[in-house]
Amino acid sequence: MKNLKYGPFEVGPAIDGFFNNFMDRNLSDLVSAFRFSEPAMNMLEEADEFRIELAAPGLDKSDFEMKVDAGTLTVKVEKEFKDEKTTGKFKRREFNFSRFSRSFQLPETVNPEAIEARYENGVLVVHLPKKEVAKAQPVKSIEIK
Amino acid sequence: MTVLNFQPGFRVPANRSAFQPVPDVKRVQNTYRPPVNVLNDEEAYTIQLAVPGYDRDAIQIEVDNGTLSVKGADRKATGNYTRKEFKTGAFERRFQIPDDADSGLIEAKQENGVLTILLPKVEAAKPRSIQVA
Repeated sequence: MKNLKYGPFEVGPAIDGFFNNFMDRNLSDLVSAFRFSEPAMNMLEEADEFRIELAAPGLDKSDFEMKVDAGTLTVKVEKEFKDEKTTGKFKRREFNFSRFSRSFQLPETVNPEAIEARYENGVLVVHLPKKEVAKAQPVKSIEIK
Repeated sequence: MTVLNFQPGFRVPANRSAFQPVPDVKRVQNTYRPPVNVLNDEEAYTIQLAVPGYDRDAIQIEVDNGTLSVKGADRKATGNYTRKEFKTGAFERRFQIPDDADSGLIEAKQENGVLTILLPKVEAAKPRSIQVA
C-alpha cells in the first residue's frame, strides 16, 4: 500500500507503519506523522545569493536527489527501510524524513547553473547564487559637469 | 487498547509513563521542544531527537532524580530570513527514565542532526531463557 495520496499530504512509510499497529498508537502519533514527514525550510537572502536550509536529520548525503527543471528546484528523498528490526518497536514517533519531496520556484534572478548544495549536521544547505545583473550594485555617484 | 493521550503536559496513566514528557513546569522560557522518536526493545530504550544544525558542544544531557533532560544552546543563526519554518534557538526536552532502565549506563551520540541516547535496561528486566533441569 504505497504512494497513496490523500489531499495535500504524500503518504509515506510513516503512515504504513501507523496502520500496522493502529491500536498501539495514540492520536499525537497520527498528527505528528503528517506534520513531520515533510522537512521544514528556512530561506535567506544575501547580497549575492539566496540560501535554502532544509532541516532533514537522520539522512545521508547520498539519499538526496536534487534537480532543476524549468525554473523549479526539487529535492527528493526516497529511503528504503532497511532496518526491519526497528519496525514496530517505536513507542513514540514524532519525526521521520525517509520519504519526501519538496519543490521550490526559483526566482528569475537565480543562476541555475551555479546552484550548490551541502548536507551537514542534518541540514541540507542549498546555495542559489544570483545572476550578475541581479546583484546589488555599489552606489555610484554621478559627477555634475 | 492504549489510552488516548493528546493533551500536552497532561499527567498520563502509569502504564504509559515511560518517556512521556515531564510536565514543563520548570522549563526555561524561550525554548522549544524538538521532535523525538522513542524505541523500546529487549536490550534498551533508544531516544532519537531531531536536532539538525546543532553542534555537539551546544547540547547538554543531564540525569537528575529519574529525569533525563536534553538542552541545546541557541545556534545564533542570523541573516536576512525571508521564511522561517524551523527554529534555531535554544531547546529543552525532558523525559522520565523508566524503572527498568539503568540510568548509570546512558550513552549518547550525534550523527547527521540526530541525537541518539541509549538507555540500556537493567539486567533483571532483560528477557532470559530458563533451562529445564
